[in-house]
Amino acid sequence: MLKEVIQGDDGKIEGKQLSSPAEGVYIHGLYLEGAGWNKAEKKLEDSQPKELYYTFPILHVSAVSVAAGNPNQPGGGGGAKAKQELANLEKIAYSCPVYKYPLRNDRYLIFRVYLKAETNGAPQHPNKGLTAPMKWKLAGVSLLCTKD
Amino acid sequence: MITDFNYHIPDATEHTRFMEYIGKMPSNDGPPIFGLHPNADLTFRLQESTTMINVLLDTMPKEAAGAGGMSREDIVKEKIEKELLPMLPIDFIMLDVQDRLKQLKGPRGLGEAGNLQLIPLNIFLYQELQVFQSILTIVRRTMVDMVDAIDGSIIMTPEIVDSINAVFDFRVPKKWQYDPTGAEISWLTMSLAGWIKGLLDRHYQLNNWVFKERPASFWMTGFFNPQGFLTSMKQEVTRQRKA
Repeated sequence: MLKEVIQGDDGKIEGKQLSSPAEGVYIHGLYLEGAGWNKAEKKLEDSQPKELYYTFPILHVSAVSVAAGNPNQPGGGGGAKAKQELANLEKIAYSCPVYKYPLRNDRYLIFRVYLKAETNGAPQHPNKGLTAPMKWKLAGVSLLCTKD
Repeated sequence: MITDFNYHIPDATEHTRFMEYIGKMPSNDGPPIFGLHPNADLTFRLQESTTMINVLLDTMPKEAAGAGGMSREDIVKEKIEKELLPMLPIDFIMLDVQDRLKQLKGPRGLGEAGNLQLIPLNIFLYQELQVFQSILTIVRRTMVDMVDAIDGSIIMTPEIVDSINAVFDFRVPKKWQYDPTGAEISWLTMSLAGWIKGLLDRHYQLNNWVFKERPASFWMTGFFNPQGFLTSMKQEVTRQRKA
């Protein structure tokens, strides 16, 4: 089984000419709604008042075989290990849906991206037991292809 | 507007205490109590006003003659002939495209191009081009039909009237966005200008890809079938690994 794995690869966009990645594709033109994006730490943060959309940096989307792991990625050796990594990712990252339009329904869902959530995000919310990924899920955070 | 009201279940047994507590609740519930960011309220209000303005636009009289003596039809005709038609990109010739696709290179390590079968994303590009071309054909056809119907050389059908009304109101004609069964065939936008810009941007990306080279970064919004795009990408990675 293959799964898209995404890394925010925004270091290269500004100024310099971007060249195609060795594997997978770069994608641009996405907007983040419901949360802000911390470029330096590559994670979600609360959006600023009146900032409804954030232009999302270029994404590197590639395929990783969950059964075989990724030989090019450090720590992506065996199948069990790759599965373990994915499980770990699910704990700290919000599985952010990418929609074609601001309408959030299954027809316009394209795929999902794991975005790192705040690791210390839980205490700022009054509800106990709310993990960081859950917070963003509740807030309806999503990546959109167009703003209107 | 955003209150610090503390929502909780009142710790009391008397009816009056409950009523008192309920009476203290704010009349507007802020988005944070649902876990949403306060900006969600702003989004909601923007949507509400846009909807209202659209309804107001729909109630505007349609039959009255426009200002300056020009009729509605004349305005639309001039707009199409002077602005819209010259803006349309030239058609893709599928034979040229097929020739070109045979030379188009794939990603690093994926064999030599020359065999179209080998490069999944190039097949995807061909499919996108076909869909784009069909949209472009529909758009050009409708525009020419509108002008001809206004001139009186073809019969004015209810469909053409709809399209003329849409162009007059700066909306996108239905025929460009939906097929006769009501399925979406292109991208959805509020305004005609936004739609035309979408058409030109899409053409730009596809045209550059097929006649220059594969772009370093893709504008995924511009694809008709983004899932297909990702599937093709997965196939390419798989084949790169196998080689």
